[in-house]
Amino acid sequence: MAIDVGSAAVERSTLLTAGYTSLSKTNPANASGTITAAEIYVRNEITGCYVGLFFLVSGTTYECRSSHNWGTIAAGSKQTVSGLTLAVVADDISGEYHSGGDRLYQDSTGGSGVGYQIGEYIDTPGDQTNQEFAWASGESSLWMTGTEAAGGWGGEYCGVAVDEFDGVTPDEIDGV
Amino acid sequence: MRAKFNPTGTHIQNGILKVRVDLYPEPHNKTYAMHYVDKPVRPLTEAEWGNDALRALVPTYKELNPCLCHFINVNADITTLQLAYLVQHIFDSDTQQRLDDVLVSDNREYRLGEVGRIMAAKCGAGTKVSLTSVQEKELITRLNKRLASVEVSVGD
Repeated sequence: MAIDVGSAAVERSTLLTAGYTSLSKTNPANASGTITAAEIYVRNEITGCYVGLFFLVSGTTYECRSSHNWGTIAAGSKQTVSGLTLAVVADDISGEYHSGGDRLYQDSTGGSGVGYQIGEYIDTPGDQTNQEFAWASGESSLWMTGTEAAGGWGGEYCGVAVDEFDGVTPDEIDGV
Repeated sequence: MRAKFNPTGTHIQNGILKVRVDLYPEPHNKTYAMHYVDKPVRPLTEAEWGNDALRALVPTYKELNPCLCHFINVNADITTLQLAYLVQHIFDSDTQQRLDDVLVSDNREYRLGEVGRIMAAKCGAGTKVSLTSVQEKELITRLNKRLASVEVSVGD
């Protein structure tokens, strides 16, 4: 089964400035497995962009399960990235951070809520962020898809996250 | 299409060195029109963003965006020739044609799902490195300098 997380990467009514880790509750992951591609839409070029998956720890505290450093993202057309191997577990939500440039498109209505925290809490799995969900019904222009792990694999193999297996052959995985 | 190394994406993830290659369409490609876009000559003010008439007064220029940013696992000692060869191999004619067809689809589930499937087996291979954060930064700087000129015609 295909996995998808987040909302359509389209032009929206409001914007997220640089320097915030922002999570979007809309459309959490529908299964566990690996995210392999993503789309994003930004108003003007952004730099130092990370995209990732987060899970709820408690209250408004979320922990980064996996993330990818995308770099600079061009504006004016939907941007697509491939070659991702991000571990995802059912109910994970999408997150984004960019250190510079202009804005990521968001809406303050129409979704399940967008949260923020000033600062970068996404570059390392295990980073935790305390999100202030100022918009109870917003969504971000970040959409991710991937493939479900066979046999209900929960994003880990022998206790190792799937993204630990980058560049590893199946035979080597068996040796873990 | 043309594939060009993009140094802003170089990073180490779980000990594996990853480099970013951006795929740019050419005028005969289906994805060209959607990525050859008008951009303002200066950042727009909030008032200009909120008002189409004001926005229209700001001069624009044309710029080509990539239709795909793809990440490849590589070894730390990869050369420009090796990366160029790898990129040409990854974006062979069939792959480039399939991407050009898929990326113009209006069905986002199909579009991104297919891109992920097409490119999943084309992520290269790199051996793990074990470095301090200072060494990682030095390696990335060296690699970006070494690979900066990699730009190749692919697929067509």
